[in-house]
Amino acid sequence: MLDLSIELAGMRLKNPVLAASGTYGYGREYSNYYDPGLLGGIVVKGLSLNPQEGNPPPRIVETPCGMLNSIGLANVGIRDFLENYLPSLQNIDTHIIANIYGKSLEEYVEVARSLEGHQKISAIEVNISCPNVKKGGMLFGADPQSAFEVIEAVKRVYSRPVIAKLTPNVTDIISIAKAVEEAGADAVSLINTLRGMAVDIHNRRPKLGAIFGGLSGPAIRPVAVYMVYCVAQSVNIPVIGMGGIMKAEDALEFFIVGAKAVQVGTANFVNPYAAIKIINGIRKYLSENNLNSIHDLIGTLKT
Amino acid sequence: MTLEDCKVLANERVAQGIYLLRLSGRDIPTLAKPGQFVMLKVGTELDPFLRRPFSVFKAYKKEFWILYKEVGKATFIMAQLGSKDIVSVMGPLGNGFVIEERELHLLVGGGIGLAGIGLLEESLLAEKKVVLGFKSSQDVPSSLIGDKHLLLTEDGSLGIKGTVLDGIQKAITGVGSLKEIGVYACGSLGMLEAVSGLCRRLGIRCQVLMESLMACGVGACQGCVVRTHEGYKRVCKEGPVFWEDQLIWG
Repeated sequence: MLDLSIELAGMRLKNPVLAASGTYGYGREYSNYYDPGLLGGIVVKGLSLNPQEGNPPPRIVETPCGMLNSIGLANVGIRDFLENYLPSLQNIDTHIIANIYGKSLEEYVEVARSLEGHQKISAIEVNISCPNVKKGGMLFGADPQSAFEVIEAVKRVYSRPVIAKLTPNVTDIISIAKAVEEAGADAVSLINTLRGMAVDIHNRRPKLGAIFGGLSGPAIRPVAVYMVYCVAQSVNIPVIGMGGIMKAEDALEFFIVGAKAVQVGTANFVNPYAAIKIINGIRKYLSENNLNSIHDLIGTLKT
Repeated sequence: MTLEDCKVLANERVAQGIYLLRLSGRDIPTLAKPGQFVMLKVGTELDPFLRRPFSVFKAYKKEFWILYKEVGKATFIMAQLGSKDIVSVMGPLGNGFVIEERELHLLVGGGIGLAGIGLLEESLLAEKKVVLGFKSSQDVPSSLIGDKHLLLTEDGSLGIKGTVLDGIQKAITGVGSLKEIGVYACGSLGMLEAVSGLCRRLGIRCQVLMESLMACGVGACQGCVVRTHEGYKRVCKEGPVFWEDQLIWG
């Protein structure tokens, strides 16, 4: 029997495909298309201490094989999420992971603290990598010391697994990954979007209201695969790979270079069934290659 | 809402740069309500990358129509579609028009904005008038326009010379109470702002169908927001139809 399940930072996932934060709303937005419980996990939209309005529109623009976004972490805030959104996730038969974000170290800690004790939340993914906010986000994830401090502080107040989501907008992602591992992170996920910009040449204005944004989609996949490859060899905690995964073949690249799980993000927009198709495609690949488990594939790159 | 592979039944040019795409549909035609939209995937797998939102212009038993203007890469590719081609369509999506009891329902389309009010015109049985404004005669999809439409062009080359604002003024002449009129408008942002301003001055309730660049279409990405008095609202989820007094214009 083919086994797609994995053990990730103490969690047993039925398959290694999760929905990426920011692309799957609060977990119910795609319920009209399929049961979200079919996924290995759902990482909900980044949550902050207080509700966030987000950036002025336009917030998205299509670019070759990808898109720029400058949403700016618009979210309902942790309290509203816990009261009004989490109850509707109770009967989804998969792991719900809360992505959290803070403008300061204290805010990260406060949000993490309020998630402690909620049974339906299996883990926290700490966003130290958003390129679209003036304070917090990527600023914490671009420096090993501050990345260490955030993760260490969150670990102190939250007892379930803590995943650090890393930014590619750094000179040396390995040093950040090592720092968060040392701080106690149970896993790392990468990559968040690459900072980018597009200009309307007719009116000479930026195409995004916030001037710049984050690039996602297949355009960034080679960068993501490379960074996952580098990080997977440098840390002992599991690596969750993401960046432009549109189909099973894309996901397989990440497993081969060492990712233990993957997240599907922008692809959800293009095809609401993308994540489900990817799960089925991985199963087919394993079967065709006489592999019994996804573990037989992880980190098997031949060089 | 569903995801369907729809067969192209016809795709014809109906005015300069304006096309009418007729698609077969399993559930979309019967599910679609006036003002709702669908998201089409055209081209190769990755280019154009995202789906594109379009109003459902008309819907019949197993068929629905999309009226669109060629403005960029995706619509250029759409214009090349031929019968029997297959297009992936997601929808219907969003909240359509709210139909309240009115003495007169006034549907207002500016240019390609006609696409957003076609289904409402089809399904609304109550007393209604349809005002359609275009820049010039070459922009008018004549095959879709009949005697029951109040047609205006800015240069006077077809119909009455003027804008939809002149058309609204003409259409409401003689109506007893302006409060008994409901306006449903679709068009460019500038046109919608002007129509909203006029309705506000006259005390007429007005709904506007907004458009936006969009990624997911289901409320997940928060990419398509417009400014309202209650903060940003998603065009795909809370919209695409808004009451004009909800929105912060300009």
